[in-house]
Amino acid sequence: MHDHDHDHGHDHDHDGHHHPRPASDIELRARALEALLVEKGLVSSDAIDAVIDRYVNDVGPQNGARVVARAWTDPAYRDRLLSDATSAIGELGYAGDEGHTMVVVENAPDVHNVIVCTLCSCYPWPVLGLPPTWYKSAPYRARVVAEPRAVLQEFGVEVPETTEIRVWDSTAEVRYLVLPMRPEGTEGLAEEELAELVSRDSMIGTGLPQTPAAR
Amino acid sequence: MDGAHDLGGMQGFGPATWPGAEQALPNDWDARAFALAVTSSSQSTHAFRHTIERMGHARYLCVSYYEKWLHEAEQALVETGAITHAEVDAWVDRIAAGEQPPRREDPVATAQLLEAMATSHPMPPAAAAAFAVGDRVRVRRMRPAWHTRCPRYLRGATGEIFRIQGDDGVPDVNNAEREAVYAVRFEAHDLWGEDTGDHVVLADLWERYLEAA
Repeated sequence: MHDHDHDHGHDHDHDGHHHPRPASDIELRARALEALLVEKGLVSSDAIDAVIDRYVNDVGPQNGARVVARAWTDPAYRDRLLSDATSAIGELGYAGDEGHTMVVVENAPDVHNVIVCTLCSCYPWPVLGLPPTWYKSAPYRARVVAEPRAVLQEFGVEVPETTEIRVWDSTAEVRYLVLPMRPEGTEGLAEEELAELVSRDSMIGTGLPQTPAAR
Repeated sequence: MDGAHDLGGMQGFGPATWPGAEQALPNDWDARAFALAVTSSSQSTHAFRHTIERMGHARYLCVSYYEKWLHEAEQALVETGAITHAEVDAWVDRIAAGEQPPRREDPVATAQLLEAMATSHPMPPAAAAAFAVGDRVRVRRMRPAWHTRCPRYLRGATGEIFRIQGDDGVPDVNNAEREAVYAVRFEAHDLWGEDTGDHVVLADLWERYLEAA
């Protein structure tokens, strides 16, 4: 399933829908659709550029890392984050599409949280940006609700047998962010230094934050 | 619609990750297809997803992620009559022949779009909730005609109300009605049988998907 580059010819199938040319032509079709919609005044070129710029340059896991680092250093912020994540994340200026209603789930020695969307690709854009390819692909979506320990092992994460794994399937419009445990040996670090330890995967639940020694 | 998109619990797909899979936008066209779908769509989120679900199940499982979004962008506008597939085909030929695609700027609308994209509209609290935290519930059996957000792997399973998330438009009727959404907690053995581990799965389910257990 992960070989997305193979060709697969199909022009018209049983449902009578017109289907685009083979996948090798998909870039051409994207450019053609954009040209047509611009020509018809249905989209503007600067809007497309601006949306790409927002999600490539401004919005990404660096936002979520700031949220996590703040929660690790400010107990009152952590409490607000766990009771009303949408507002607490909004305090740092992160809001909008695919993050309208946020819930933060906290890891602890006895609980490890993992996020998935089995039905499509729901993911908290304002704090993590756009999802990695594996997150929106069939293997992860199919397996993590049924065999999370096996999946986490493939990401290099070993969760102790005594720790309850909670898999959150984003089936409605709530978007989840994992608050990972603060690594040991980080007592002296400032919030900005802590944020650099917080990986994207640690906020999905398929990774752990880096330790200072590992950097 | 019960289709290929409803993947929870399926087997045989292989490893969960692989080299290169950490990228969000592997190709330049992925970014443009993403932005095109976001800027051109006038559909509800539910209708957007349903357009992708109707693209053909074999194809759904084969194409890359943003090819699905590109399909949505084209198909939705064809269905409203705004464009035709033949018009897109014609532009494919023109660009392949070397023609430079047009550009159009609309700074006012673009600023409004960005403002809207960065503004949250949180789900309001549930006005009326039939179930309380701790209640035992069973997910109803169903064969939904249109779009649904009730995955197959949960139907018939018994769980417990973990949290009341709020009040939201019902996907199955494209937001024509609103009702409570609950985070429901399921034990792994109630979903997959014995010997399947001791994890739990939590899913957000609309009230109409549930009955008292």
